[in-house]
Amino acid sequence: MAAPALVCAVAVLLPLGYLVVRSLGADAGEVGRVVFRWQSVVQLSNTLLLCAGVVVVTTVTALPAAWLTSRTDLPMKRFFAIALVLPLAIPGYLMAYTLLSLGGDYGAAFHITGVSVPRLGGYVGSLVALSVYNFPYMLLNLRAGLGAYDTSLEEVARSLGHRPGRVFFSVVLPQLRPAILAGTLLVSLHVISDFGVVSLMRYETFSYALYQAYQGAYGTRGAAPIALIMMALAGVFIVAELMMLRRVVLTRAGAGQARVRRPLRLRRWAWPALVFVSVLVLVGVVLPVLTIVYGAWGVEMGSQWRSLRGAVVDSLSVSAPAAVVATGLALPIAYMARRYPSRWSAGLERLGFLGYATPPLAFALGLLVITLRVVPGLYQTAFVLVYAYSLHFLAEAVGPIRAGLFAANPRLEEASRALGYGPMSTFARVTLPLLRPGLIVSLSLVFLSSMKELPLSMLLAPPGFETLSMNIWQYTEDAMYASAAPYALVVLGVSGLFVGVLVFNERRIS
Amino acid sequence: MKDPLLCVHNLTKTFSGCGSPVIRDVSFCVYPGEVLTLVGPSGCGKTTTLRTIMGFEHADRGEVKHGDEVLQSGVKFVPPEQRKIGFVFQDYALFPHLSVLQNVMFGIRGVPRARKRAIATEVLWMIGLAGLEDRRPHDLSGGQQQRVALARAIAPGSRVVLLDEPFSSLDPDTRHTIRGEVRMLAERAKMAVVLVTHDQEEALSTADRLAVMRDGVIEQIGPPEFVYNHPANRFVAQFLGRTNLIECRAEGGVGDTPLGKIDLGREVDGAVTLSLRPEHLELHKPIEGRPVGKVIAREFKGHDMTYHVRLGSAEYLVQTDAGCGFKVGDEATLCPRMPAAIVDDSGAGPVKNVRLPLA
Repeated sequence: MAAPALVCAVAVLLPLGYLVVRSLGADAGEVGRVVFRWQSVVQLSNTLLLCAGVVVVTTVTALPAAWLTSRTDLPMKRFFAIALVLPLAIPGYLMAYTLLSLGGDYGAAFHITGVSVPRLGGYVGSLVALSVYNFPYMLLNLRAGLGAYDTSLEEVARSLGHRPGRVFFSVVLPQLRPAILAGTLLVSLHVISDFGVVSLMRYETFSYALYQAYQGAYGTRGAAPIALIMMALAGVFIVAELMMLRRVVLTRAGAGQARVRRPLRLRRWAWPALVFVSVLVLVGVVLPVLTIVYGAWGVEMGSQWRSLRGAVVDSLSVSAPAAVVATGLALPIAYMARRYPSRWSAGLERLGFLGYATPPLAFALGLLVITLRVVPGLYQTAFVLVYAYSLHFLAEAVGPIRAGLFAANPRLEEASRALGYGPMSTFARVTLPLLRPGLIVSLSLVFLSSMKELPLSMLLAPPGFETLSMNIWQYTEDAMYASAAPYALVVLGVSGLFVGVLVFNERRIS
Repeated sequence: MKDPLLCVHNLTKTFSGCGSPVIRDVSFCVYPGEVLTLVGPSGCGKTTTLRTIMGFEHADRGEVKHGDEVLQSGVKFVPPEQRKIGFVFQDYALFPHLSVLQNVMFGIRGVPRARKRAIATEVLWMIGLAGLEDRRPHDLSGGQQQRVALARAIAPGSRVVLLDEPFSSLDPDTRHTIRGEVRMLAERAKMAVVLVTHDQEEALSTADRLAVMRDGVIEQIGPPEFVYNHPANRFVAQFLGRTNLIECRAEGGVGDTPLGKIDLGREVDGAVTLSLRPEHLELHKPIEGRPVGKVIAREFKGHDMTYHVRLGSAEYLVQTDAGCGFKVGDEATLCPRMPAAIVDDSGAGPVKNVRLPLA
């Protein structure tokens, strides 16, 4: 039963391991020269600076936002609770596109208002784009933390004479620490893995450097050492996350159910609070959507129509199989973790998440090298792209199936056995029908994620194969913002659907 | 006597990781039309016994027979789906994606669809659920869900039905009604029913025969009246209801207790422990020459009354009808209304003239 999870782990680790062995074995001296040089220090400090910046910005904005939407009587609370999650629908490279096409002397802002705003780029541009995209991840973590924790502790603190302001720092914040840490690690992993934003903003982190090296004279040989550093860095974060997760036990100690709490009255603070969350929604959702729609509006579609259709077909042709493969792999993994819960199976399930945590560029590079050397027949084929997508997005497929398995309790299977059906027909007649909604959600999530994926496609797409995201990236890179707009609009639609499925699924489960 | 429908012999099961067996040498037979109730505190192995009979758990050793067919013995293991035994789960385990009718039809196999539908409809009608065929399980009340689970278990024509704590989540009224229905069903369809419960009152009122389990072992098995009145040991005596345990010396079948001489119903000599149910004692005005106790508390319970009487160093429970006029502080003599049951005669002399249990 452990096989599927192990297969997935091996499928992720094999190319990476091969990359390590090859590059170390081939010429350790050269690797050393690439790794231990001034540029690496710059790239490392750039990467870490960006991580720190994004973590600080997202925490500082998401903490009050999470608190306002879960614990106070903020006007239109339900609307904002959802609207603040919507930036999930704006992939980083779309936000980068937005910021780049908006500013400058010929930017969209100038066209519309006649006022030229500065074009963001480099560190600041990357920081803004990545913060907007990662804000919902931090927010969801914090909101889960705020929802799970026990307000009676807050009341105890009040009864012991602490004022509300002090209670926040002495009781609420410490309880939120696990949520903040989990959010921090997730956001940091995203920043390390990001390629779209930093490449468009021309801010040299490891992933941008890796891509440049790959495009440069030495190809995979030049890029491999950088991939090794990236993996090591991500490894540190993953291990840290695993260690943190082990300690996250946030349940109330003692008997009794926590009571439903009364929301805090904001009174005269309601207006500033409203302005604050509105600005967040404006920057994270309204601004990019308007910019993209405005950009697409003015485009003369005649010549581009065929190329757009080609990109949609290309994206579809790999995303659909990837969705099927990932869901097929996720089913046994989730099944095992749920039915045979143990440390062992939980660990295996987490191995299934390895593909998500691995920086996509490093993973892609490993795949390139291993196919080139070991199975040249597969080199630069769509098969490799499907392989990469399905393992990278496996984690998204496991979640919904797991949730579905909670509905299909083992007693139901036993009942079917008692009524005369063997294990196989029981699975077909009882388990599968109960899992169907979860399976559909898994399929959609992986499909939609693959449709908007960028870094894996950049390295692994077969010659002549151009996905939607690659088009956006290329046109934006060439500062042809108008040409990028139609593709951006399609990706925006796809992402919107993705978030729609996500939100719908949350509702369904609760 | 009729042939048993279900026989279990020396069934033993150990879970991996646990040293001692969860059930040990469990043996019993159930006859057509009979309800056998397994009762015991939680964790005594009664549910494991049921799941092992069904084949959800593999027994270490022992035998399970359904009529003449061996379901489980040394090497043989028939998978659950081939055992033709109905099973009702504690949480009912109704298929949420199927309607009531589809749930009941699920296990009926090997006949045309129209026939399945007819059988299922008939079973639903018999069990009082006519008209609910198209509902979904979550639209039903707890009692209705329970009935659907029962209907689903018997619809395939199983003559052996196992019920795992089936009434525990029902309100008392519904519980009472369904209990009666299960008994009637067993009698009418000549089914053998094994029912597991931890509720001694439910066990006593539902069972044709009762098996009291503790730590994986059947301590006593027999008709409820017999087991209640003649508990084989202290545990059975105390588990099935309140009782007065009295240690005393016996001579010639009569116990010399602080309450006076008490008939023991059989010849026995030496140190013994007796069980006297509170309702087997009577309160009298102090009688000359007999020990006199003092009423220290009384619990009025509507239909009857329980008195706590201190006599010497011990305290005794007496159950009387609600109109009994003794008050706290009154003096009274306790008189047994029937022979006491011996629950421990390990200190007594050689056994003479043992009366065999009627089971």
